[in-house]
Amino acid sequence: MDNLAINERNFLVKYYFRFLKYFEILKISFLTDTTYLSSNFTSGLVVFFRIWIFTQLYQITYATINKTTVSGFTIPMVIWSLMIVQSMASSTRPSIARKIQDEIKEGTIDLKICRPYSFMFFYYFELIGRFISSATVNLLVGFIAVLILVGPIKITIASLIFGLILLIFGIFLDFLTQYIIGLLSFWIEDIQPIIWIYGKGVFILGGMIFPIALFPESFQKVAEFLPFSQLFYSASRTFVSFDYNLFVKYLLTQIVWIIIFYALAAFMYRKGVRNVNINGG
Amino acid sequence: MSISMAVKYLKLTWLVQKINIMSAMEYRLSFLYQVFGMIINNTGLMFVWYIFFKKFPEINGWGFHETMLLYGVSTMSFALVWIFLFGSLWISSYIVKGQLDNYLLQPKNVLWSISVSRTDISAVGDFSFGIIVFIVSGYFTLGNIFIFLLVGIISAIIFYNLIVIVQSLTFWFGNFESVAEDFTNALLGFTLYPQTVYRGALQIIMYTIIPAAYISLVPVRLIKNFNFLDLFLMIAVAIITFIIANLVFFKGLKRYESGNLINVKM
Repeated sequence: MDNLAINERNFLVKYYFRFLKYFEILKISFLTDTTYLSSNFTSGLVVFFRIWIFTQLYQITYATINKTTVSGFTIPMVIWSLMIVQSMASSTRPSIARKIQDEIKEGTIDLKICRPYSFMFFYYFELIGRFISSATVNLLVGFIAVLILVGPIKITIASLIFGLILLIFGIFLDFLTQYIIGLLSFWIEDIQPIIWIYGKGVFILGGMIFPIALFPESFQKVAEFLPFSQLFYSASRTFVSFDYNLFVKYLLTQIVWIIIFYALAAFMYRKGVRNVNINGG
Repeated sequence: MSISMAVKYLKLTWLVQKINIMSAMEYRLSFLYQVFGMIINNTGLMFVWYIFFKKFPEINGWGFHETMLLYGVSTMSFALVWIFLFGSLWISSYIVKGQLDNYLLQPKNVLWSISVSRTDISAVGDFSFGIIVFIVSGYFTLGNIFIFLLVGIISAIIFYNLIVIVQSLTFWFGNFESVAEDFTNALLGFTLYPQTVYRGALQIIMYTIIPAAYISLVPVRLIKNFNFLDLFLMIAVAIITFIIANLVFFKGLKRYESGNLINVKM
């Protein structure tokens, strides 16, 4: 084996072990979340009821204006889109921001920052672990609900693949935003109101009860460039109605926001950690 | 419970929560932060319906003004529970962790002691928001002020009773905390949609299994068109749920097994 091949192998082994620790974090988080399956199912039940309410809301609304399609969206497309966004958004809760706040306030953050892993990626993989568990249940319940309430819609392989790409970026963007809010605890005593306001931003502009495609045009243009719509709405929009140009626009918007937030998060972490004073005890 | 006893408990509740609120106000910035944060949060909720009704017209006589009225009543009744009886949301957690002992030793009614033990200060923001939204809803008249306050208080009592019932089921089912929390969130969430949406089986559920209708639909109906039938219906539901809540809690309390946790409550 020549030197180049050995170096290449060592490089791969090094990164394999580096990833392995994060995979273990993901696995533990996944297993912890599946331990409380009853809790996942009750939150799935709430998703079911919400979808039921939305179905009736949009059925009455469409009947009132006597139309079957609004802005290219039929009732089943609206409900499928809302189901996907709701299932994804509730799978990222409880908020990472609150966990980071607790660590900073209680001083237990010292146990994390001195360990040989990235503070940011610890929380990211912890989130992914429980996201996989919760999203599986939520999507399963949501899928059954929409099939019963509005029936199937046409989803193509392309929409699935491109939607999945947007979803992966969307989850990371949601994580970064919550991570930044959490890091604010280095300077602000109580970040709860910021968590609420962020939650409402996602609620209004994230397509949780009203797909952005149905917004009046002026609101729509603004909403599509804000990060809130790029968390889960862009993916759900692509799943239910694939449009290549829209996909590229969403992907670029996501990448820009991710670069901005990643840089901000790294800067805040470096500054914030200097503020940490740990007392013995 | 005699009327004089009820009045005594009401006075005591006011005194306890006044101290709770005043101590929270000591941290002025944090207090203002939470109150205004909640007002902005609720305004955001309203905004989505503003956009919705900008795009779509009224749904069966239900428009943005009715939605404002709905938010006014719901957030006010929710706030009353969260300000004065927030401890009721901790019953399940206290049972699971064996922390009811603190309250069993107190000289007053156990359920009351637990319920008034906590205050969620951000609910002051909800309360203010409820009043403001009612004022701008277009239904703000002298007669309606009285009805608004009356139905707000009755629906708060119903809300509280339902919370106690679900939280107390932990006595029987063990680890029930997250289910109880989900139920409370669902109950609250379902009160915030235009009420003409509920039809058929969903409407039946809203009057029975998840009785959100008595916290939102009936109160809004009463403010829009006052009638004694709806008022009696709300009072009857409040009394029935109060009896059930007390039965479930005190029957369950007999099953309570304390933990071995030793702590001191100052």
